[in-house]
Amino acid sequence: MRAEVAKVRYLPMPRWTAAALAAITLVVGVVLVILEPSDPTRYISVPGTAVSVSAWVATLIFGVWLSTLDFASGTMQRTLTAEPRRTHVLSSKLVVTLVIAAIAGLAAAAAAGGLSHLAARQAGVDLDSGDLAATLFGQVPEAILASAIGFGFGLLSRSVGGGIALGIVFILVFDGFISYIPGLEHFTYGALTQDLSNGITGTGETHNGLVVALLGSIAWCALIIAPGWIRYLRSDLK
Amino acid sequence: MFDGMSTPGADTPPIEFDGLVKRFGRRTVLNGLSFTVPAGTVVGLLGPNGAGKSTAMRVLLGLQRPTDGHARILGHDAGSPGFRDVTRKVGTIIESPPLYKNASALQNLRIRAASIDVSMRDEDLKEILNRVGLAERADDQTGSFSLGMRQRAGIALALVGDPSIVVLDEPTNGLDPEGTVEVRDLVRSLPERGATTLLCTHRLAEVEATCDYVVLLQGGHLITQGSLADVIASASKGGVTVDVAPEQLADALRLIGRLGVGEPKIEDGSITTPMTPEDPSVITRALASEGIYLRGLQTRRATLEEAFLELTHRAETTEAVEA
Repeated sequence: MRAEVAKVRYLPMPRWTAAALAAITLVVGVVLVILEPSDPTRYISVPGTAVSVSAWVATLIFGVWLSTLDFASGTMQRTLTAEPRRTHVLSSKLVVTLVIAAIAGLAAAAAAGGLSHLAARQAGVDLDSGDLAATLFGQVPEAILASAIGFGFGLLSRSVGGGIALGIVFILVFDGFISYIPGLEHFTYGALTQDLSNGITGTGETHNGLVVALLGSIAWCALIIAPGWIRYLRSDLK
Repeated sequence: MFDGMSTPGADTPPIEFDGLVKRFGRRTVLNGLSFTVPAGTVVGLLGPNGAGKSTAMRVLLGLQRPTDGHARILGHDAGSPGFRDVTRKVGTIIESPPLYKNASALQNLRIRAASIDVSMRDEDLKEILNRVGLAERADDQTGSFSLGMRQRAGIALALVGDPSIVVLDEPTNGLDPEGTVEVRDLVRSLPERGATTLLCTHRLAEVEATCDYVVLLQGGHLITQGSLADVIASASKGGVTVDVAPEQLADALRLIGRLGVGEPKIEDGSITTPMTPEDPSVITRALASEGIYLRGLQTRRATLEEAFLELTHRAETTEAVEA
């Protein structure tokens, strides 16, 4: 675990991703301060969408990056000589990925919420703090799951570009196809993660209960992670 | 095994290959490879391209799985209980230095230290960089390094945690002559620090300068192993140069041809033989018995390069005949 934490700490990519996420959050907050919309829902929906999309993209990329790092940089030998138990290597990477994604999602939600609140107060708009918090923090589970999806596709493709491309195609295209299969429309990855967020925050319409949504989302992640994981454990590595 | 060699204080050899077989599909890369690396020595692993050197190292370190046989570090096969503890005592570079190019040399060493659960102060890590001549570039990204500097940084990585076993694959690749000498001295100093070193290289001069023992592979087989002097002596190269009076040259040539030192030739007025007799005085005595006055006799020691070429050629010929 220490090794993966050290990589996150000393390598620049996580810092740049965090900086981009922080910049997007800040820009949205500044835009709200400048435009001063009179509709209170804007102070919730705009940062909500921004955090949702940016955290999703950032954590997906981070998941791909950490799972492909040793393949891309030719450092597999140093990772596996330090920890030859491959299951431990992957478990450590996955845990670090999920924890970092959770921290990033929470930090982005907290920062966006704070800025939105500030902007609303400056504009003299009365804001429902509960709604704002539910909307923003409701994105965190999706961010965590996106990191797992990125991790899985990264492990499968063993390349950053391939992992990101597969992740985006899965979410934006493949998931859509599944929704056309009769009986599965409420069990797509998108539907289940949406239900999970809504279930946690108690907002929006849900088709599945919280437990089903949670287990279903985890099942999707496991399905995506498993092939690359098995390949990593069984194959010769350089 | 290296006959007659002892490993004081250690029954378990640091590195041991025992009947190791590795196949990729139908292609056999290692075919029953067996040898041991004695503790506290620098052993050169030699062989032509495709001999299986890097594959042997990868199997040893658990990166690739053996098809059959064993590759052990301190008595542990990859995947066996305790293997994790022993690999942490191993510093490696296989083929190219495993560096994170977007991180500085110092950060690379910090990550390595964290990976093997070793707490090291930056001063200690900088001291390692100093040993490989990179102290002044400690904070520069390794992606900006020249090939030689990356090689040095890779060696620095291998030295983090004071490893008891160091496995180096072509450590002087890309180094200038000065850097080569520095790395050579560094490798030479490893046994003094208690480290056993397996050095894989194509540079035979480097092996002659740094290694105590040599293991020669070809086609996944072990061709020969032993001390540097023994391996060189096992090759038929070498020979003697004999100077006699010009009018006795033909008689001397005929006589020497009967002494089992190969087909003698006349070169620049001297007789040369392709092989050196066990006891060169047989030539002296034979010539004296025929009344041939010996003006001079020089034995020529084969170089490792000659021995390498001779031994690999001999193995190729044997394989071809067997096939």
